[in-house]
Formats: sequence, structure tokens, C-alpha cells
Amino acid sequence: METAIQTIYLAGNPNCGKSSLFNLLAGLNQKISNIPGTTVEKVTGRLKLNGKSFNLIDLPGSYSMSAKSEDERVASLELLKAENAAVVFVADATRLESNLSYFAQISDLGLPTILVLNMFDLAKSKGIVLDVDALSRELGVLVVTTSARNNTGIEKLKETMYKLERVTQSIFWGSAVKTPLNHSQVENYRKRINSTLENPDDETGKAHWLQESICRKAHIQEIIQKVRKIHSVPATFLHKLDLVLLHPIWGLASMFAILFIVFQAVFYLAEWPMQAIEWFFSQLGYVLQSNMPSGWFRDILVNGVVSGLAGIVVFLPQIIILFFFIGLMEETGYMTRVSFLSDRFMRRFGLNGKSVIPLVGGMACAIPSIMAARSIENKKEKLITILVTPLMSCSARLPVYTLLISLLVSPQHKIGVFHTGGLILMGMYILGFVSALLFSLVFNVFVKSKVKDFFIMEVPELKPPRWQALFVTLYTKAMSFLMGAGKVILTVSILLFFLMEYGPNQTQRDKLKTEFEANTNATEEEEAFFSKQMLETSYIGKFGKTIEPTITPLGYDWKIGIALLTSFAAREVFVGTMSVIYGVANDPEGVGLREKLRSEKDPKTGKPIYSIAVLVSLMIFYAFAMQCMSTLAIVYKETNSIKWPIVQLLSMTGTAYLLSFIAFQILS
Amino acid sequence: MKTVFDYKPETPLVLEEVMQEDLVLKLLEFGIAKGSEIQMKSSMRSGDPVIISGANTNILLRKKEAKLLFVKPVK
Repeated sequence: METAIQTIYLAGNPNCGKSSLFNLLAGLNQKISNIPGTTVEKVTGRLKLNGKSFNLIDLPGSYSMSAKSEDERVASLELLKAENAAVVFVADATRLESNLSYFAQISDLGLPTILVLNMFDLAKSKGIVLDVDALSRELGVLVVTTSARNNTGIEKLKETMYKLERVTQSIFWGSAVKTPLNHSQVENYRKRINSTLENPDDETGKAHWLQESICRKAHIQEIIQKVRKIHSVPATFLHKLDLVLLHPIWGLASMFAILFIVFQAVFYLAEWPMQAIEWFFSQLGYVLQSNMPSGWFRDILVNGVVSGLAGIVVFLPQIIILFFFIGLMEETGYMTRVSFLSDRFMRRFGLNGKSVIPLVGGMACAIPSIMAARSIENKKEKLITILVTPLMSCSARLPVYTLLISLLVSPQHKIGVFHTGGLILMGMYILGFVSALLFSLVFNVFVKSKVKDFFIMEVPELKPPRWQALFVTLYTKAMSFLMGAGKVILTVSILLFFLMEYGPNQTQRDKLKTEFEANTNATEEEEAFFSKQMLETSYIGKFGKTIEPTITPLGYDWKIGIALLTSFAAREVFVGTMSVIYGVANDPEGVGLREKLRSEKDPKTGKPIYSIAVLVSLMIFYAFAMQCMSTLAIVYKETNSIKWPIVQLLSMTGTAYLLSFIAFQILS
Repeated sequence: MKTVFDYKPETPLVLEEVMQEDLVLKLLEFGIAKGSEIQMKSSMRSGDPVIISGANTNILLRKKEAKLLFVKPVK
């Protein structure tokens, strides 16, 4: 291998097993980063060949150098600016026509290129016989056969990668002459691709590219006829299963059953690990609190950093489980079946078939679900999906709803055989889904798309999952979430800590604190009263008082105002904040808080503060308001724009305010 | 000229004409060109969307695009 080559790109069509191959070559030594100026992720790793280390880059899967989608454009631009680089083109051996079309476009770039025929075992099982040597001769490149699923051919691939020293491309474009491109022809070809990428709607460029593509296709077809024979084989179990999954009736029934199982699993399987994480962080906080000298450093560490970290890590089980199922559906090819089955319904709302998965996932947590919207190629539909996913009732809303519903109706109250509380809770989930669809309708009118697009996508064969690839992807995505959203939520948590720990009249607060700390026999009530006083005199308490006139029309007092403010970081903080405000010691069941809230009276009127009107108003507020910093951070990251998180924040919170106001005014 | 909707699913057909340039390009990316053998593999009850198979690849497309594909049966 020439010493000049420092970077090796892995390129290929989507679903060709490229990322699995990348995982096998790079192992866990991977890093996900955004390609500068875009939202597209680039996965990089290190590869050692005969003692020399190379950058290995897994490019987004693409079908063409002139493609319009952001992922594909970025893949093309990366290849165009590549220097001291080589390409390992990964092709699905079962679909040579489509894969070689893109290969031909890349091989003309003048970069050292080898062709990997992946899924070679699958091709054999489908009766496809390929003459690899003949293909290598016809294309003028080294060809290696692999099966990333079975981990075969990888060593041979590494050996071949070491031989990436010569550029031996055939000419595919323009004329039918099969000679290597000279330097000026390569430069000319690169310029034309650049021009097509910059002006995708330029009619002349498009016509030229179309002509080239037809010419390439003719050459490829000739070559394929020489090197491939297909023998008929009996239908496999997966083929028969696919007929059921794509059936207009049985397919829909299977889809609802699968989505139900996924939702249940995300909800229930995560419960125990989430409790374990919460326990771990509470113990960590306790150990630090007990063993460190008192002072601001201990306070910020325990109440800022540890509680902030707990707020992020606690979602990790749900994120991992959700990503596991999403990964499983992608790996097996089931995701595209869901798109097929739901596309027509979702289209009415400006969404598409692929939006179903983020929306269902949003019932667990909006953060990984928004990340899952990446698989939607159409920019407008992807953006709308991202914008409406937080309206689905996520698990963070659950403790809030549970508390408010328990104040609204007695847990024993039933309508027929159904518990009233359960029905109200189900109603809140339906409200979330319906509002997501209605918001989609509105965004569909206002979000403009310059690109004239159509929905066309490959439906890969149904296949068993590659577990190793699935777990490596799971690991890298989980780490990416922790590092990405973690930074933001940690910053906000620390900020909130300062706002709760300090106040405008700090001398008075310090005096209160000294007096309380001097009282070594303080009762639980005294401790609760102290916490309440400290909160009331803190900056966040002052903010609560300041915003009180704004929230009075919704039926809320300043204490609810503080809970609204603190739960901006994460909705579930509402219950914790209310516990602090109402002087309830840590009570996981929330019974003490319920009783306190029930008995809370308006000092002016003597009427209960938590009336039906206030409770319904609050539930509506939490159903619509955008109160999740991590979600906003992810939306910012995914859209690469501050505009969309702001639009989301204002539209959702504005609707929450308006509907809560209407509900309170009508019911009171 | 007939479209895939004029034939029963799984009928072997030859792609004769595609009435939109962008769609021609997109199909070429999937390895499908004029003269390629295609067939409708599956469709929802309303015929929208459909899955069309060609060049060993299955592609999902909406009815309005599928109606731009003109075909004839394989002889």
C-alpha cells in the first residue's frame, strides 16, 4: 500500500451490510461526529494493517453521486474532497444491478478502489452464482467476497486493502470506450458531479447525468450477464413470512401486534434498571454528602452534577431498549414493511410511513425517537416528525399525570368494569397522538420544502438480525446520546441548582441556613419548612412570584409556577418540586403530597386550590407544553438549527397556555 | 399503454416507458431501466402504496408514481 493513503472510505448502497463490515474492521474503536455544517453523522474508526494505522470512515449509504438527500449529498461531497484516500466499495452480492451502478460512479473518481461483494453466502443460497475473477477482470479492480453476518472473508479483505496501490478504473461514462480515465477526464467528471450537487434542478445537468446513467447501466448489464447465473430455489420461510407481513390485512394486524409489544417492552423492561439507576445515584449523592466537607463545592457536586447526571442516565434503559427494537426492525428489514403499511394514513397529515416508529417510541421517550427520525429521507416529513414527536405522552409525563389524576378521581372509582383513573390516563395518551397528528397538519402548511420530491424507497429482503452489529450500534448510539444531550442537561441542572441555592437576599438565607444547621434535633416538619423558606427566597422562588400574574389566568399560584419552571428541564421534576414546596419528605408513593395538595386552600377565598378546573388545566398544560431540555437539545442537534427548537417551544407551550386557559375558564 | 395496475400482482412485466425524468433516474439508481423485467409484489387495498420488484430489488412507491410506469407482459 502506498504510504500516502491515510484514509479509507467505506461506501455503498444502504442495506448492503457496509456498517456491519465497518464494525468488524474497526471494532468498538469508533467515534460518531457530525460532518461539519450538516446534521449527517460520520462514523470514524481506526484500522491497523501490517502495523500501519488508517482512518476508516463509514460513509452514509447512498445510491448515486448525484443524489438529493442530505445523507447522500454529504457522502458524495466527502468523496469529492478526499485526498490521500482510498475507497472500499461494499456491494450486496444479491443485487448487483443497483450496487454496481453506484460503484461505477465512484470508480470514475480516480481514487484507489476495491469492490467487496458482501452477503456472498446469501447470494449462493438464493441460487446466484457469480464468477468473481471474471467480474474483477471486467471492472479492472480487485474484488473480495465477504459475509459480514458470518464474519467470513474479513482477513482476505484486510490483505486486499493492503494492496490498494493502483488506480485501475474502467470508463463507464459518456462513450463506450473502456480505457482508464486520464487526469483531465477525471477532473472534468468531478466538476460535473459538483455542479449537479450544487444545482440539482438544472435541466441540462440532469439530462447529461441521465444520459451517463443510461450508458453506465448498459455497460453494467453487459458485465452482469457475463459473470452471473441465477438458478431457481424454493421459497424460504422468511419469504413466506414476508408475504404475511406485507399482506394488506394480516400485515396491518401483525404491525399493531409488534408495535404493541415494543411499546410494552420499552415501558416495563426499563422499569427495574431505571429504579436501580435512581438508587445508585441517590446512594452516590448520600455518600458524597456524608463524606465531603460542607460547602459550595459539595452542594454543586451533589445537587447539581450528581442529580443532573442521574436525570440523564435514568433514561438510558428506555433509550437502549427502544434503540434495540428499532435496530432489530431495521436489521431484519421490518421497518420498511411498517412504512409500506402506514404510509397512506400518515401521508394525510404531512408525515410518511417511516414516521410511525418515532411516534410510537415517543410514548417512551422523545429523545431516542427524534434520533430515529433520521431514517426519513424526505426533509419536510422528517422535520414534521421531529416537531410533533414530543407531543406523544412520554414516560416523563406519567408521574405528573398519575399525581394529578389521583387528585381528580379516587383510585377506587370505576366506570363499569374500568378504573376511571386508567381511562383518563388512556385518554391522555390518545390526546397526545391526536394532537401530534393535528400539529402535523398545521406544520405541513407552514413548513416549506424547496425540493420536489417523491417517496420511493428500497424494501430490503427480510433477514435474520446480525446480533454483533446490532449491539455495537446500540453501544455507539447510547454513548452518543449520553455525551450529546448529557452536556446540555448537566449545564441546565447546574444552573437550576444555583437558582435554587442562591437568592437576592443571600445574607438572610445564610442566616436561616446557619440556624437550621445549628438545630441538630430538627423534626421532619422543621426540615420541610426550612426547605420551603429557602425555595421561596431563592432566585427560582422569586421567578415563581414574578410569573404568578401570567399563570393566574390558568388557575395556578406561584408554587405551581416554580414547579412549571423547574420542570422545564424535565417534566417529571414537577412532582419532586411540589414535594419540596409542600414540605413533603422524599415519598416515592406520593401519598403525602396528594393529601397536602387536596387540603391546600386559597388564603383569599378559602376554596381548594387544586380544583377540577386547575387539575384539568394542569394536565392539558403538561400534555402540550414543551418542557424537556434534552428534547430541545436533540432537536437542535438533529435539525442543525436553533429555529426549530424555538418554533417547537413556542408552538407547543403557546398551545398549552391557550388550551389550559380555556379549560380553566370554562370549568371554573 | 398499460401500467402495473392493469395486471395481477406477480405478473412478469417489461418496463416500456417511464413518464418522468426524475423517476427514470431514481429507478436507474435501483438498477431498473427501460427493458428491465418488473412485477408488482404487493399493494395495499387501495393500491397505494405498492411494492414493485425488479433487478433483484424491491422498491416501495406511491400510486401516483407507480402509474407513471408503463409496462407490457413478458412474452
